[in-house]
Amino acid sequence: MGLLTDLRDSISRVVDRLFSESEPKRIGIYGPPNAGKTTLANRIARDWTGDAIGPESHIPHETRRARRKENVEIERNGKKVTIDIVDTPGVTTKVDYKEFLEHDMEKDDAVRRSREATEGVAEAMHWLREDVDGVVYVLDSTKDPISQVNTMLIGIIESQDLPVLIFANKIDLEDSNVERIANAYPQHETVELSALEGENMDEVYAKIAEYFG
Amino acid sequence: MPHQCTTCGKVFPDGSKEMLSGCPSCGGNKFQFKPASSTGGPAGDSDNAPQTGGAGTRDLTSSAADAVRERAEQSQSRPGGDDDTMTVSDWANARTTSESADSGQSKQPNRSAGKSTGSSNTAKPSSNTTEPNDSNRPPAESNDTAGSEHTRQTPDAPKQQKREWGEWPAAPDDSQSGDSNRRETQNQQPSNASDERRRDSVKRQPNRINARETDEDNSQKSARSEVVSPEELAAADANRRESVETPVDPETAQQPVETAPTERQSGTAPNDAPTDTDGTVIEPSSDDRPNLDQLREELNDQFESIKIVNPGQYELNLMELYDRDEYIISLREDGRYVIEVPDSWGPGERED
Repeated sequence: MGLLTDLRDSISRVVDRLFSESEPKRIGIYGPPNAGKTTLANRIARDWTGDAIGPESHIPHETRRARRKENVEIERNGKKVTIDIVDTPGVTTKVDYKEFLEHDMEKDDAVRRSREATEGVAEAMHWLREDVDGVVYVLDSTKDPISQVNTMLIGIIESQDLPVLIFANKIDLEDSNVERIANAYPQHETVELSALEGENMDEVYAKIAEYFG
Repeated sequence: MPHQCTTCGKVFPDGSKEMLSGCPSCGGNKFQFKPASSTGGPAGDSDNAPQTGGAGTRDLTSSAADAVRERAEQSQSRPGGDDDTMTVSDWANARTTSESADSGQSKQPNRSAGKSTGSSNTAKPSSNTTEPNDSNRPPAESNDTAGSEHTRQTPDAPKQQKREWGEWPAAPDDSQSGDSNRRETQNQQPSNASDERRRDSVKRQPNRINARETDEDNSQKSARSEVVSPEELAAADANRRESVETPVDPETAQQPVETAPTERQSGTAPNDAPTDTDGTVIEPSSDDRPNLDQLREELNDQFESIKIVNPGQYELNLMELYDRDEYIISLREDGRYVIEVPDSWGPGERED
């Protein structure tokens, strides 16, 4: 009977989580490596909680485990939303330790980083399947947005019927081309920003409150 | 007719070379050994035919029988100097004779040793232990070796031995002890005078009778090793393992478990090579791990989601990763994975 009780409780928890308005939405920050996901997550977390989520780096795959910041309350234009921010490792189809050697890394460290990055991708995909209620997809606006990874991930997100916002990051850079991203994924709203410089963050928060509230 | 194709039933005479390249009639490459003594008729045939697991089971069962004979011979310490000169096959033949009233019974412990299905082990023993009467046995068994050349046995002997054998299936994984029980029975039962007498005759006339059966046995082994490829045996072994709920043979327990995370090994994995397919060739149960390239290849086959090109170089199939119920949480240095199989109530895992 204890087992049945446990099962019933589990079901209740699931149902409560699904339908509770007050439960924070879990928003996954996804994108390819070095798009600025952690920079964005830190920016949001610092702006609304005062804490950071994780270290940022120009070396790809700095984030190799998903990190979460809970109960981030964002209020904009009279709308208030409480979200859990999940900063995920960059998703890619290839991980090569040689890429890290270019950043003055020893081979052993590079190999380990590569392995951990691969684990991180697996974890990110797992979170996408199991644990997120919405997605912020971050792209480096200086790069071509049409890639296998981006197309596949956005396709998966669409198949899940998850609300998604596309953030065109790094608009502070000269090569930035937001239009290219907007044209590549016209079915989704694209928001430009510079997470590093804090540019256009007002619109970012407004869209977050609107989409995930 | 010592050899019979298990597929079409074609019988080959002793020493026939025809079947070395497969059955000329049907192309089958599995044969069963039929001693000359068991040519008594259809009843005997039906008992020797693969009843439980098809040709593969039969093949491996007889292999296990060979192995049991060898082990029994090695640990044999029976009183009486006459055994000193006995060969394995002599002893086995003698034992077969003593059990000849029911060769199906004599195969029973071997089936156990051969990791046969539980049903075949449990079906017969119940009748043996509860009702030793011959009338309770299937006709195929009771008539099995009626035509045997070694049927000079007291009528009581089969019953007494069956009482002892009835215990074997209760501990099917202990073929050694079962074997020793049987030997003790033979030694301690004075009623087995006929058995001893036959053994004496075996000793006195080794060339006339048993040399021939030894030849048959060897030719059978030869035929099997010539025709059946290791891959087939491995596949048969894998199939057989799948059908067995719990391993009952100590040799299985000694097999190095090289499963990677999922334990879903394909039958063609190198580690699945049968260890005791012929009774004469026992591959050492090596604890050596396969080289990393081999291991990577195996894992790549199993986990298409992550391909390990080289250490530190990976190719990922995002769709596969996404579709998996379990997810890889750790990659080991040697290329292995650690996976987490999600709880059915996934949300319960949350650290809320």
